[in-house]
Formats: sequence, C-alpha cells, structure tokens
Amino acid sequence: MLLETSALTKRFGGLVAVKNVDLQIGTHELVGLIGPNGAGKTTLFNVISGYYAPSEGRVVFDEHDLRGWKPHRITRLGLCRTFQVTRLFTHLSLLDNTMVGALCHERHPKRALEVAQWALDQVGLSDRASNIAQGLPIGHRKKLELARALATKPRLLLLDEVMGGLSPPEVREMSDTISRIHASGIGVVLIEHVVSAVMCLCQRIAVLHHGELIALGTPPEIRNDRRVIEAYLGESYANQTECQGPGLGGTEGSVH
Amino acid sequence: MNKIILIQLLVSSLLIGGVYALISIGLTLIFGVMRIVNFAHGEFLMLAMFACYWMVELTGLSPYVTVPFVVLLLFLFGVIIYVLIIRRTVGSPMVVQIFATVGLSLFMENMALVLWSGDYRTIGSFASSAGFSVAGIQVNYALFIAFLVAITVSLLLFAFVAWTYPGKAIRATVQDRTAAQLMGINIDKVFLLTFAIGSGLVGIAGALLAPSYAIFPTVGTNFVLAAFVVVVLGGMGSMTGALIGGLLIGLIETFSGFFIAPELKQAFYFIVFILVLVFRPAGLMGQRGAEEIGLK
Amino acid sequence: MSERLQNKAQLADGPGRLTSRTGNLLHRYRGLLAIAGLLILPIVVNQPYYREIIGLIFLWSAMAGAWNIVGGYAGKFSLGHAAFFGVGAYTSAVLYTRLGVSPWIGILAGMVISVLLALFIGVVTLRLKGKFIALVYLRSITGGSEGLSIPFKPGLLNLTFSSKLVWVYIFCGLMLSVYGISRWLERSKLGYELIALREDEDAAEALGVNTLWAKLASISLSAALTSLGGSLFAQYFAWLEPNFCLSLGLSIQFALFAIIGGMGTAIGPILGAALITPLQIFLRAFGGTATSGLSMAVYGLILILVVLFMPKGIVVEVGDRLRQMFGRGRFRPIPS
Repeated sequence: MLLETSALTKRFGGLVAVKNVDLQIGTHELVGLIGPNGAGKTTLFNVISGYYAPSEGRVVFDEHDLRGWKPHRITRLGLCRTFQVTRLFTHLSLLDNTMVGALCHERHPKRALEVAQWALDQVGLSDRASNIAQGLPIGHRKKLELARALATKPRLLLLDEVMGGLSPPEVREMSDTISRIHASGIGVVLIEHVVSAVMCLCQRIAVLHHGELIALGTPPEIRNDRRVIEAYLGESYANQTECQGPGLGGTEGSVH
Repeated sequence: MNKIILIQLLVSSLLIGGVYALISIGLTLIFGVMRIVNFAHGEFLMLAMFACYWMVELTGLSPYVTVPFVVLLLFLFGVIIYVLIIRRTVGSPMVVQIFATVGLSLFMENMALVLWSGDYRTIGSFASSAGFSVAGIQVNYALFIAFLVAITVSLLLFAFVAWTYPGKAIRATVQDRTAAQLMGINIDKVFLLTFAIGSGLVGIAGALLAPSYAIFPTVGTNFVLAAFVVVVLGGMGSMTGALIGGLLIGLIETFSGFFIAPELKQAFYFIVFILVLVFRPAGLMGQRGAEEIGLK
Repeated sequence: MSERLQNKAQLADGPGRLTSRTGNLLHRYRGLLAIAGLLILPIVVNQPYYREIIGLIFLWSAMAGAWNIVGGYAGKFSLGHAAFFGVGAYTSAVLYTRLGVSPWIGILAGMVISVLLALFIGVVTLRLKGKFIALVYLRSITGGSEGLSIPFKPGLLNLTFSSKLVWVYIFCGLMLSVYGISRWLERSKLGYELIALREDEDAAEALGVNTLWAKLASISLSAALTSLGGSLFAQYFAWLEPNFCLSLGLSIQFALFAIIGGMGTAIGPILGAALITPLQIFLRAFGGTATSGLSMAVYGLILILVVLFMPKGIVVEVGDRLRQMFGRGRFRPIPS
C-alpha cells in the first residue's frame, strides 16, 4: 500500500470539507477521483500533500505517518501534487521552472538540468525550453505543471484537474502522456471533470460527494452506481461499454 | 498597591489608547481594503499636526476649531496622493507598493525638514494643560477629548461602512475584489474613497494631538511604530481590532512605563510586536489564517 | 540533447545561466577586462576626494548586493539591513576599543551576531509575507537606536591604514566577492530555490523546496556580508554614529541601489550604487542640514519615480529596450 488515508477528516470552522475518507492506493495504480464541484477533492489533495493539517484521521505514505510533515518533505519522499490553477514561476523559462523540480533530488544543477530536459521531453515541451513561462496558453501551462512535478521523480503523482480547460485533442494528448507516465512505474491519482478520459484511463475510480467517499470501484461499476449517477454523472455514462478511439470514450466533454 | 494609583493608570492608559486607536484606524482601513501598507502614515500625521500648527499661528484660533479644516486638507491630500502614486501601484508587485510609500515617507519627512526646519514647535492650549478630577483621578482635557473622538469616529465609521452604499461597496471590495467589480462597483473609486478617508482620519488624529505633543518633522516616526503594532495586534484590516489594539497598547505602555521604565516603552512595543507575530500572526480580530498561504 | 540546448542562443533571463553564450573574444573576456579596469581605476584617479567616492561606490555596491540576495533573489525585501551593518560596525569597534580585540576577530564576531539576529528575525517572520518582514526590520531599527546616542571613535591600530588607497582596494575586493557570490547563487540550487519561492512559495514547496531553510539561508548570508561591510566601514571611517549606521535611511539606501540598478541581477546593485552615490555626495557637499534634508527628499522622489516607472530596475528595463531596438535575436515575449 503506497498511500493510505484512514478516517481522514478536514473541517473549516463549521464546514466539513472532507469527511471520514478511507482510501488505499497501491504502488502502481492509476486512480481517478471524481465528484461534483465542492465535493472536497482538492481539499483532500491539500491535506494529503501537507498544506492542511487533518482535523481527524491519518495519512500514511510509504509507511510514514505524514502527520505534521511540511509539503516539501512529502515531495522529497515521493509524493508530488500539481495545482488546479497552474502556479508557474512566471518569470522563469520553462526549463528553469522544471529545474526547480529536478533540484528536489539532484544536488548539482548540471545533473538537474538533464532531469529537467528529460521531464520537458516527456510532455513534449522540449523545443520551447528556453521560452519564458509567462503568457503560455493553457495547454502548455498544464504540460509544464506536469513536467515540473515529474522532475521531482515522484512515486505517486496527485494531478489536480490537469486536463481542465483543454480542447479535445489536447485531452487526448494528455491522456496518452499520463498513460505513459503510469506505464513507467509511477502511480497517479487524478482529479478530473473530463469523465470520459477518467473512465478510459483509470483502473479504479473514487467518487467524492459532500466530502464523503460514496463509491469506489472499477469504471463499469462506477458508471452504473446509482448513487454516483444521482450525485454527479447522470445516465449518459451508464450505457457506455468501452472506450472508443485512442484514449477517449464516446461522449466527449465533462460533467458539471 | 494604592487603588487610586491603579485606577489612575488605567484611566491614563485608556486615554492614550484612544489616541493610538485614532491613529491606527486609518492605517488598518487602507490595508483592509487595498491591501497596501502606507509607510508614509506617520508623515501624514506629521502633516496634519503641522497643518494645525500653522492654522493656529496664522489665525490665532483654538486648535480644536481647526480640526474640520485639517481633516479636509488631509482628505484632499489623500486624494492627490492616491491619484498620483497609489493608483499606479495597485496591481503591482509588493516591491512597488512598499517602496512607493517608503519613498513618499522619505520625501515628506525631508521636505518638512527643509521647509520648516527641525525645530520643535508647540501649540499651547487650555485643554492640553488642564484637566478635571473625578474622585481623585486626574483626567487631561485634551486626551479626554481625543478619546471621545476616537470612540465617536469609530462608531461613525462602522455606521458608514454598514449602512451607506459607498460603505457597502467598500465591504464588498474587501471580501472579493473581482466579484465586486463584476457587480458594477468601480474599484478605483472605492480605493480613492478609502485612501482619502484613511487620510482624513489621520487628519483628525493629528489635529487633536497637536495641542498635546511637540511638533517636528520626524514626529511621525515616533507614533507610527505604535500604530503598526496596534494594527498587527488588532488584526490588519479590522477596525474593531484597531480600537481594541489601541487600548491594549495604551495599557501596556502606561503600565510598563510606570512599573518598569519609561525609556523602555519602545522596547516593549517591539516585544509585543514580536510576540503577536509569533503566536497569532493574524492579530486578535484578524481572520485566522488570513496571513496563511492561500491555496485558491 | 544537452548539446543542442547549449548551443542555442541565450536562454531566457532566469537563474542558471548554465549554458553560456559562445560570443566573440572581447565578450568572452569581458569579465577579466572589467576587473582589470577596476583595479587600475583607483590608481589612475589621483585626487583623494574622487578616490574616496570610488571607494564608497564599491562599498555600497557590495552592501546593495548583499541586500539583493534577500531582496532581489528571494523576494523578501527588508528595510532593516542597516541593523546588520550597524551590528558589524559596532561589534568590531567596541571589541577593539573597549577590549583591545583585533578587528579581524571583531569582524567575525560581528558576522556571527548578525547571523544570529538574522535567524531570529527570519524565524519570527516566517509566517508572514514579504511586506511584513519589511515592517519588522523597520521597527527593529527604530527600537535599536533609542538610547544609543553616544558617538565614539575607535583608535588607529590593526586593520587601519594610513593610505586610503588600500581601503579602496579592500572595498573593491568586497564588491567583487559579493558579485561573485551573486553569480554563483544564480547557478546554484539555493539560487533556484530562492527565486522559486519568490515567484510562488506554495508551488516551490510542492516541488520539494524547503522554503523555510532557503529563506533563513539567504537572510543569514545577506546579514553576514552586510555585517562584514559594516565592520570594514568602522575601521575605515573611524567614526560611528547610530544615526547613520543604524538608520532607516541607510537601509533604504541599500535597497534603493539594488532596485534602481535591477533587483535580482548581480550587476544591478553595482550600477545603482555607481549612479546614485555620486549624486548623493554632491548633493550633500552643499552643506547644512537643510540641504541634506533636500538630498533625502530627492531620494524619496527618485525612489517613487523608479519604482513606479522602472520597477525592474535600469539594467532590465534599459536592456529590454536596447534589445527591442537592436533585435538581439533572442526569443523572449515582451514582459509586462
């Protein structure tokens, strides 16, 4: 078990954002995390990655209890997260952005440079390495955010809506990238609203609603789960049988 | 411990606290709405004090009569400074905001030095040297008036912010700048108004303090230290906080001055400042985590 | 792949100029030429008055450069660096005059105390964003100067030279060291971490940057260098006044030079100091309190104007304009 949360709860004053979430992620899984807006998905990520302290419950990563750990320490351990709204270092080049991630494990900038270049290559941004990060279109921003995280040599990636705002071809491209990353041995937990992509990519899907985990299972199970249909998906996904085309299912687009 | 002395200290603290509150309200208002720290705040105070002084010198009127004029002057000054300088710093990185007001502070302080020389000036006034007695407790008139004004102004400000349209616009801007704009609120006007009001408030403070304190170009720096401590203590952006903070600082200053040593007053502010920062960076009334990382 | 990128034209202006340009000979040796020029300059300039100015420019460049480490690279600008300067100056001076301790040791002592002070300040302000650090520093200065109003004179022994020329070279060495440290920083892991946390602290944390440690490291380094400058100044000037050494004005000066020249660049502080120091000295030369007030008022104005209209500092702004005019063939979208 790579990542495990037990009875994880996060309260903000009177509001319970995450309630009693028990989640187990194995060492090489590709798990989706879906749910309506405000369900607590990003908050869950924030707690796991150390930005918020849990109100109750525990997070255990690689047999370490993450209680009280700062985000950078968690990243060093191998758990890296991206942000829903990209938070790039706008005045730095793409390469330098990625370098910061690479320096997580490489002490010397020369070695880190190689790692950074590799990471940019993985997402297809190599030819723009020297451009400045400011003013990038959303597709590239998301890729850069992913590349940076990749440079930290994670064992588990927490991707927060990394496909948000992307056009269908870009979604396909990102799906392929994530697939490749997973194939190389890195675990991925994916918050997404592009449900079709999640259905095709993920081995398991967790559904969060009002902070609670209301379902956890394989894509077909989730598609046909009554509670999930009512809370979030609607009927349209229940009738899908398999993914069509490279990386994507039939009904394109997202559910909100 | 003589009970009379204790009560006397308490009363003196409250009076001084009222003064500090008065000075700090403008600062915290500006920060709360615009997220800008006006490092020239002390110099605004100095300007107000000088304005009062010159008005008294030239017209021979009582300083208390000049209050409305000083307020008006500072209000207009606030408008001018906003338009010329502050407006341009609104979207900018913090360097710009900080150094713009720091530069302004330098400029004002030294221009005052050049124009009016470093000599100490005073305004004599019946109120500043006299007082009344209640059950053996001495209360200085001038400070008492300042205290009353502080309370009144705070109340008026609350009323303004709560019930008038501009006040509501200000509150909306504090809560969510973008949403306020989307609702049709002209942020620029809100900022202008806020800055001008903040300056006007300092005008009141200056005019009321002028009779009681010596006036010279660097007088601002003496007070502004306390003002910053008050604002941080009370919670940046919280007006209630400024009031309570002011009173608290008045208490700390008076008691520490009496029981320990008057010269160490500033050291005490500093210690309080550090303690607040360490244990409760948001201040007493500040939102918990207002100073924390914002993840949205 | 590394070769391909290395041969490309100049990368964007980030830290880490790992890949250097393949320029022509003059360009490649410009560093050495500059240093040679600097070394010759004080000899060529004969009059002591101008020599002193040059010496001061070197010193203030170094101090501004030290400030730049925290203010420019880490983005945590402080207005209290005079504290470190003053600590350095007074520590070595007091140890020397009252206890007869050699200034060399005094310098080290000053640096240690400054670093401790820096760490203390850093830890206390760790939860705050940049502007509040400025505040805290500010207050520490005002708090410190109360009651220390006795100016006093250190004597004339070790680390004191009859010829001012030696001091000019010492300060030059200091400036070059700070410059070198800045350049090293730009390429180093710490440098990347500082700039990352300047840009976006949360994102930096997510990428494994220990922001607390990086901030403390940068403050300590900056404080130590500033303290060194202070101690050297004490030996050079032989007269210490808290109104100067611990003054807000001095703090602002360090920051001002770096900002005007270009924060976050290694050469910026040097340019800023070179531009403003002569101005400052000439203004003051007209004597009297009124005019020194005037010079500070002018400072204030300059600060406002620079910060409003050329916030990136002269190096970057002018550099950009030149680039646009002469099209250096470097791909870089126009920065806002």
